[in-house]
Amino acid sequence: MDFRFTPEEQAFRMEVRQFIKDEIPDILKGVEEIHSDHIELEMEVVRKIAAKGWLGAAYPKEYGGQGDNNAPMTEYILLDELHLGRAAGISLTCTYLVSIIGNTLLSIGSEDLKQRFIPRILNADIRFAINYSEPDSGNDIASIKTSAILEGDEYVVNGSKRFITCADTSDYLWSLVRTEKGSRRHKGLSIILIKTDSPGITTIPFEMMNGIETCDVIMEDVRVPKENLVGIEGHGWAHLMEALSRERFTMINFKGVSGPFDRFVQWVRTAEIDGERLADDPVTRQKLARQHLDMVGGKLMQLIAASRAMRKDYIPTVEAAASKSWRATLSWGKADMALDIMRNYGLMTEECPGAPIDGLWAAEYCWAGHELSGAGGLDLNRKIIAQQGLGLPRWSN
Amino acid sequence: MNLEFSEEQQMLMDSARGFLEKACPLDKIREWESLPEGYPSHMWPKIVEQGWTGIVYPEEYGGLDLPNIDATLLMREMGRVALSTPFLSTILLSGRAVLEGGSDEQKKDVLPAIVSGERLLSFAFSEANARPNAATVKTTARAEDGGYVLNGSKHFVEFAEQADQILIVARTSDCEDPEQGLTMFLVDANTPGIQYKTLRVMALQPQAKVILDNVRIEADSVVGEVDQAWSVLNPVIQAATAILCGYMTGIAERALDMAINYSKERVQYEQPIGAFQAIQNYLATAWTKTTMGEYMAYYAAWLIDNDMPSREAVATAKAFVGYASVEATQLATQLHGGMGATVDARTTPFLKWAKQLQHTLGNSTYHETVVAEEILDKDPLGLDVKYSVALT
Ligand SMILES: Cc1cc2nc3c(=O)[nH]c(=O)nc-3n(C[C@H](O)[C@H](O)[C@H](O)COP(=O)(O)OP(=O)(O)OC[C@H]3O[C@@H](n4cnc5c(N)ncnc54)[C@H](O)[C@@H]3O)c2cc1C
Repeated sequence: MDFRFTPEEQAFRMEVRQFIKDEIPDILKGVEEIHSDHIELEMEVVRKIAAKGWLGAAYPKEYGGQGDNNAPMTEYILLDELHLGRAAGISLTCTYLVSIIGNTLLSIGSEDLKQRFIPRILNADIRFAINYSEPDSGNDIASIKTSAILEGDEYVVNGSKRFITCADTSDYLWSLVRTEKGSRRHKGLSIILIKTDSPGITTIPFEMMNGIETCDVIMEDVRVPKENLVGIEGHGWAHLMEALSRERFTMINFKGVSGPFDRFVQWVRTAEIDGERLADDPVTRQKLARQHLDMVGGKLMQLIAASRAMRKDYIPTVEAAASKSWRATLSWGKADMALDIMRNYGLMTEECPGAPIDGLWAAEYCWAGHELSGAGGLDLNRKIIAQQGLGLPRWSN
Repeated sequence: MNLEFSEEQQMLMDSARGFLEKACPLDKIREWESLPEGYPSHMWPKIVEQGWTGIVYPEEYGGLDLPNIDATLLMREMGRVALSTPFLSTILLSGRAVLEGGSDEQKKDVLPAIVSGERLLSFAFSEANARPNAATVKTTARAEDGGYVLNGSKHFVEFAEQADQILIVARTSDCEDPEQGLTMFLVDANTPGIQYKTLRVMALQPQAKVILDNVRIEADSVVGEVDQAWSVLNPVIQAATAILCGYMTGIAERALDMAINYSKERVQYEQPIGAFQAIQNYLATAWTKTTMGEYMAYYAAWLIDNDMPSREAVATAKAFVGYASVEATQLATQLHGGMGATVDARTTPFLKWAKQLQHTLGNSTYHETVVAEEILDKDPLGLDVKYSVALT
């Protein structure tokens, strides 16, 4: 057991850090999610990351990758540094491309799909949106209704999707659809790739509380070539589970939680209210220390997942679910703690001159709830831990 | 970075688990509660036979010379069977204080004797404040006639009445800084003037209050330098605390295992209770916390093994594992329903141990005050000037 990064890993980290300093424009810093406003600027950066060969670390050479044995760690360090450099949006784009779509294609895609898509993924000259959720299907994704019925050489797709982030700026929709007429729940599902400029697609962007954007996608008689089926028809559920476990592992970096906490601790060290040092107040000290324990726990769980990702043929699904659900557990609690210590001053928003910590906690508080729904949130990740990790029986529903 | 166990560590754990599962089945653990000695004393020779008493000691004293992290792994296995032994007092505290501070002669006398199981030591350090800091020590040692006279009392001393020798920490000088002026003495447990008052505590472990009433001892019972004990004791206590977190992890894990298995077997409403989402939520959370605590313990031990600053990590681990193991054992009791409340419930020893260990070597609240010192008062270089504006 060695908690230290190796000299090679450390050198790579420094290289990434320097890259972030040199190549990521300030306007992209502090952008926590993918934002359509800066999409071109962002893709420029991602293409530079691709040119470094970092996107393809894990991929076989025949598809333009590096075939690096240490790839999960390389990927972890890359994403970690992007978060540390407050470029979480770029980290997300990389994750979409490489971890979710690329890896799943590599694992289950046809040779044709691999040849067509993987080199473009590794060069970052293609963008995908993840097209699963529907107005009536959120956590219960097995209840989706969007249908894709094979007619000759084409699937004909009908249905509507909701919360499809980047649908308006992507080239393809990585879509979960029902390919078997009349099938129910986990049966008869498939994953297909739908070109966003196909006739019959309407994309309606809308804004979320923290200013980021996501979309409704309406699909009416959209025709998709049957070669765009990913994996085996009707096996969509199993494929989805694989893609989701990759997503949880890489998309959810604990820095999103520990970063703001760190800034808060730095602030408390010297802050005074009405002439009294906050750092001298025993209640404040106890609360902060208590949060610190939870933060360390989250950091370690993420390291455990990263380390186990290095095992051969092992996806740290359960560890990633633990990391994610722990993040969700801390969501409002950490903001409550900070706002409590800051008193009314914490409620001053970013726009308010003199707001301590740039109004960080007023914003964090409002956004915290997203933690509880995104990427399986609290309850679904706990279910993964319980059923896949601890072997508890499924709910009978 | 690599958080996997080495092959040697895996072997150590596997062999310990195999041995302990046979030697300490759950029903035996309950039977041992009625032993007159107050703990399963027959297990100590068996542990000696396994070589575990030598785990952190150099080979010249009959030890295995393994790092603290390996000791943490071993203690985790002992925790899994809630095994009550004088390991903490004899091997991890007093013995180690002799190893780090004692003269060659003292080491040759004491260390082989404890590794071979011939001698038990108790650790008489904490007093009325029940905290593992230097300020706890108010007992005095007055120099007189070429020796010392001890006066004071030591609280909650584990295995005090079972030990052959007792390591006593006392004040030889009055200093403003409580970390100065402390001295260690290793004396015969039945030296005249030492009185023991048996304490019955929650878990299966003999403890006593030790009263020192004008105890006259020789000058050669001093271990290490006079007035300088804290520099030896502090790192010894830190390492013991990290390793103890391994034991607490084992307690929590075993209780969770029982809870998980029971949840799979116990049928209510025509399905195993483990199929209920509420119960899955409880267990998933308890597993997450126990696992995080487990790695906090490894991290703390690993920092010590690599001579890196560890005060914050040890305090974080002890506080967090304290909460996590208490919660896990409470949950295990809860999920056993009425069976968890019967007199012979198999979860009870784990429930009691977790609570007791949360308070051993400082409770969670105490360790949080240490964490606060580390993150708020130290390392001024970390100051982020931009956000340090006064709010008035
Ligand atoms: C900013 C943002 C971006 C998103 N991007 C995408 C995207 O790109 N692609 C995509 O496909 N989706 C995306 N989503 C959708 C996201 O995956 C869903 O919000 C999520 O699956 C939850 O679904 P829901 O919002 O419909 O909530 P529901 O499933 O309706 O849940 C409502 C509440 O009930 C709880 N709940 C539900 N079922 C259970 C249960 N069995 N046990 C206990 N509690 C339960 C939930 O935890 C939640 O608190 C995005 C969402 C957001 C907010």
